[in-house]
Formats: sequence, structure tokens, C-alpha cells
Amino acid sequence: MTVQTPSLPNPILQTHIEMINASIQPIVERLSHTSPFISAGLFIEDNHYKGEAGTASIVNTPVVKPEFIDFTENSVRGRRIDLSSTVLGKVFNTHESAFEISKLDPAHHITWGIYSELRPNRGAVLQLVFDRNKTHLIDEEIVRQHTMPFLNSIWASSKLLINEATQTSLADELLLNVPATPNAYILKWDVQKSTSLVTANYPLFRHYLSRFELAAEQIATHYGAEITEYEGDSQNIIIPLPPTLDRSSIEDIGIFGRTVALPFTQHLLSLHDSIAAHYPQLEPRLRACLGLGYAERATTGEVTGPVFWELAALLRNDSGDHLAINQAAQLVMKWSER
Amino acid sequence: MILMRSTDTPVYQPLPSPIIESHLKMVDATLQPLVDDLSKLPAFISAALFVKDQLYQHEASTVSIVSAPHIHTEDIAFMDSSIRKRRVDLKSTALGQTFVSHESCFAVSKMNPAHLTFGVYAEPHEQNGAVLQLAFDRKIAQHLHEEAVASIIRPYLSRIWATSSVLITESIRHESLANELFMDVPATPNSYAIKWDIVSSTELASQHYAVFRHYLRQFTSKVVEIADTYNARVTSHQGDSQDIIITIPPQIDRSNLRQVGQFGREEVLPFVQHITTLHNHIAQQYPVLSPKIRIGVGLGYTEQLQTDQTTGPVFWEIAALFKAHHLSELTFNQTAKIVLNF
Repeated sequence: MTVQTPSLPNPILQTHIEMINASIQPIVERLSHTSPFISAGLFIEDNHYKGEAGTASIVNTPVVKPEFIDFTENSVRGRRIDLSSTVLGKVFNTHESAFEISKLDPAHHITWGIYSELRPNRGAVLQLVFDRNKTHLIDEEIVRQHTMPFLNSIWASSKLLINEATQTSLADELLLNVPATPNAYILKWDVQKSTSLVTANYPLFRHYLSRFELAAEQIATHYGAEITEYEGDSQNIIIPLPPTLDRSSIEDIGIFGRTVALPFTQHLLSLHDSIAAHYPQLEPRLRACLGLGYAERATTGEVTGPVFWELAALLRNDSGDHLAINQAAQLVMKWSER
Repeated sequence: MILMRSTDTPVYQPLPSPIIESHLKMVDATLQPLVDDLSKLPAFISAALFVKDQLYQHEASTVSIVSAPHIHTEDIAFMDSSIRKRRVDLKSTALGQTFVSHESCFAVSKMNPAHLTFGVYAEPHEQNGAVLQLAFDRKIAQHLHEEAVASIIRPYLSRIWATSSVLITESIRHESLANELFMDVPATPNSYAIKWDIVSSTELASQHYAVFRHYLRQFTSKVVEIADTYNARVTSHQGDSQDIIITIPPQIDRSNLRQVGQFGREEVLPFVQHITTLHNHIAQQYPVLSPKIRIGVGLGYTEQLQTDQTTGPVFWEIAALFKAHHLSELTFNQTAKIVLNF
């Protein structure tokens, strides 16, 4: 049985999750004997994060090889799922049950999902995952036969779960991480040795900083970027992946990075150098970090995500480079050049 | 033919415009003969011109200070650290009284009680008032008479107001004369600034992002709630930190260290203690994180920029304290320490 670690702040939610796991268990046992089954997961549409669902439960078959569940364990369990970049999203939209090759792990997984509306505008999907290399052993009729008898109890426990969740986001109450699929390039910059510059000449530093921040804001709009945070000597800027782009395609994301995010970053850096040249008393130097990751608008309105901390750490470990790029961004941009 | 392309990039003028600079020199030049004349009085220290700012309400810019040749080092130090190239907070100064009452009389300086001041108000331009303020050494000023001082300065005033008017006319083309002159914030504090952040947050976020986010939201939203009851305002929330200010209320004399210190002990310290206790209680619910908070308290001047940011040198001062005192839970800047112990 799946155990959530660490334990949830609300013990009643924990109980309902365990009930959901228990009601999925019989399906897992039956399918494990009759098909190349890997795992079953229950996903519930989130009330705050639109276009996303929270992974409420995942139960793996006991006989599966580790390489088949690595992806699920790293990218699905304990996370929200971005419905715009997954076949799960298709089930949420069409409400239809059919075999589909997984977009996130197409080499290993073929999926089958079934939708239910737990409450108006609040759907859930039970998704089953099978070994794609043994599709000849999968029969839709058998899948239905082994699934249908247990659905009522799964949906009933799921309703209890969403009724118990009283906060703005069920996913947050379940301590779910952000989706594994990126949704934006993130640029963070700050001014090196700003404390000494402020101490030496605060009004001049403020003048320079206001000029640069306002100019950064102007160019950001041209690139579809949004400044999400100003603080002291730094800005966080996100460049969301546009809806027209397939977020599950590494190549598309890489091309977008090379053609939009990187030129924007370079524009910002050169803009800074031009402005900084007008302040010879300060000689301000900028350090910037570009990352690919998931930026979320928290229930408090703040735009955040693990990638922001990753970039902050990169800035701290700065080796004097003008621009640092996180590993995910480096990989996809290089990959798309092939 | 070269085609010019219009861009969004504005034209930058990082130094005061040459026109404003020439007007400033003219103001200095018109003060000089007055200073030469007043320097015959042993108690005379300096003459300064202050112009009310159009952006920073209740503040004036120190446009010019010309001092007597015989003044003491400590007077120079005071002028350089607290008045020259700064805005002046009119609420906490004798200068402010002149701007409000428009009356000329001797008044003990609130910022430096060793000084006796005498101000003359005028409206050289309909938009902005200005005050010519003279400073005297209070210890040796007992024989000075207001009428005698007024009669010395009277012949010089029309030229001083004329050059001031030219400067103000030029300055109203801009949002703020003080900003055009690169004036620093007032030397008198207007608030207590509090900054907290979480120790080793990057590690916590990379290991347990979802739990960390949950804990952080619990804590930050509770801080916003309790801030309200202490008349504190969360001005910035970024990642694992918040900037909070508690404005010194109008009924407190900002130039009075005792009152500012008492306010700090009665309002600010209890709030900070409340944050610490609240944090410890919430942190206990997240044993997987065992998060630790560090808090910096500073007394200083905070201002709201055109970008809506609330900032001021005091925030950088606290950030520097964090760098220096990595493991300490609570740190204070020097000014806060002094007034809280006063």
C-alpha cells in the first residue's frame, strides 16, 4: 500500500487517501495476473491550479521491474500533473476511455483512463498504465471487467477526500509537488555587491536600479515575459511556454528557449551594460540565471516553484560568469540543436 | 541615408541635468554674500535653502548649504551626515514648523539641539514652498535678537527667491526635484524595518519542496494576520523571506530618541517576539524540515518608489547583517540598538 511521506498535516485526509489506495488495490491485483499491467493512479482536478490534477494515489503491481516504475515514482507520485501536456488531460477533457500512448514516457507506457465527475466541475480520473512493448497482451474488455466493479468505492472515497479538503487547493493539502513537466523559462537577475553600492551611494544606486527595472519591464513585454517579483536589487521574470507549444516535446521547448528566452536574456544583459555605462561611480555588474522549470502561482498570489530556489543557488555559486543556465535549460536547448 | 529606428529605451541622464546644476550654482552664489555678512556673528554656523518636494509629501530637499568659514568640525560632520544631499523629513524638524506656520522665529533644532535655527518661508513658485534656514551655535547665541537677524538677511532675500524660482520652475518638469538631485533619504527614521528569512531554505526547498511550500504558506499568511494587529505592513514577500515595516505613528516625535525607543520596545519588539513564537509553533508541525528563522530589526527610513517597491538603505543594512550573523535568530541594526537601549 502507498504511504505518503511525510504525513499530511490533516490526519483525516491521510485516512481517506489510505481508503482510496485500499479500493484501488483489488484492481491492481486482478490486472497483475491477466495483463502486462504496471500501475493504477487516481488523479483529481485541483480547485486552485487550473488545468492540473493532483496525484491522490498510485498503486504499483508487485511484480513490475524497477525501470518501469522509475518514471512514475519520479514524475507522477507526490506531484500535480499538467493536463495540457499529458494523455491524462485528454481523458479529463473528452471523458472517454481508450488506450493511449503516454506522452511523458512513450517508450514504456500505454495508458487507459476512466473519468468521473465527483462534484460539478471537479473531475477525477483513474488511470491504468501498461507495458507498451506487450500491447498484444492487453484487452480492453478484460481491463473494463476488472475495473468496473471497484469504481463506485473509489469514487466514494474520492468524494470524501475532496469534501474533507477545505483549503484553497487539495493538491497543497496533500503536499503535492509541482508538475514534473516545465511550463516556463525563468530568469532571475541581481546586482553584484549591491550592499556596498547602497552604502556608498544609495540615491545614485536607486536611480540606476529604477531606470534598469523600468527598462527591463518594457522589453519584457516584447518577449511575452512577465516580471513576477521585484525585491531590492533583483527581479524574477518568467517567460511562459506558449499554449501553442507542445510541452511534452523537448525539441519544441528547446527551440523556444533558443529563439525567445535566450535572446530576451541577451537583450536584458546588453540593456544593463548600456545603462551601467552611464554610472561610472557605481560600475554596477549584473549576474543572471536562466532556468527551465515549473513556475506556479501560489494561493497567496506569489509566483514560485523549486526552480526559483535552484536559480538562487546558482547565483550564490556564481563563478563570475555573466550568465548561468540551469541543467534542464541547457539540456533542452542543446538537444533541440541536434 | 541612415534611418533612425525608434526604440522603447529612454534617454538616460544619470547625473543632474546641466540646467539644474547651473541653477544650483546660482543658488549657492546668492547665499554666499549673506553668509559672508552673517559670519561676522560668532554664533553663526550656516545658511541653507530647502525646497519642498513635489513627490515626497512632507519632505524638502536640501538644495544648498553654505557654511561660515569658522565653524567647528562637529558641525561640519552633522551637516554632512544628516542634511547635505538629503531630503529632510518636515514632520520631525524645526524646518517643518517653518514650512507649516510660515513664521520666522528662533527654534531649537530637533535634529541637533546644540543648534538654534531661524527660518524664512517663501513661495517662489506657486507649486513649491521654500525655506531659507540659518543655524547658530546655541551655546553662544543668547545675545542674538530675531529682529537683528531678520534685518541682516532682508536685503538678500529677493535674489535668493528669484534663483530658487528658476530652479523650481525647471524642477517641476520632473517628477521629483529630490530625485533629480540624487538626494538621499532623510536622516531621521520613519519606521522600524523587519526582515526575516529561513536559514538554509535552498536545501529545504530542493529536498521537500511541497512540504516547505505548505509550511511557508502557513507561516507567511499568519504573519500577515498578526502584522495587522500591530499596525505593521508586509511590504515584500519573496521566496523564503518577508520585509515588514512598522511606521512610527504621527503622534510620536521622530526626532525624540526616547519616544522612538519606547515605541520600539512597546510595539516592535513584542511583534518580533510574536513572529518568533508563532514560527516556533508552526515549525514544530514540520519535523521533516526543522526550519529555523532569522530576523533582523532595523530603525531607519523607508520609502515607496515609483515602481511601488518599499525600500530604503535600512533593508540593505539588515541583509548585510544576515550575511554577517548567519546563525543568530535575531539581530538589530546599530540605530535600533541605540534607541531601544536609550
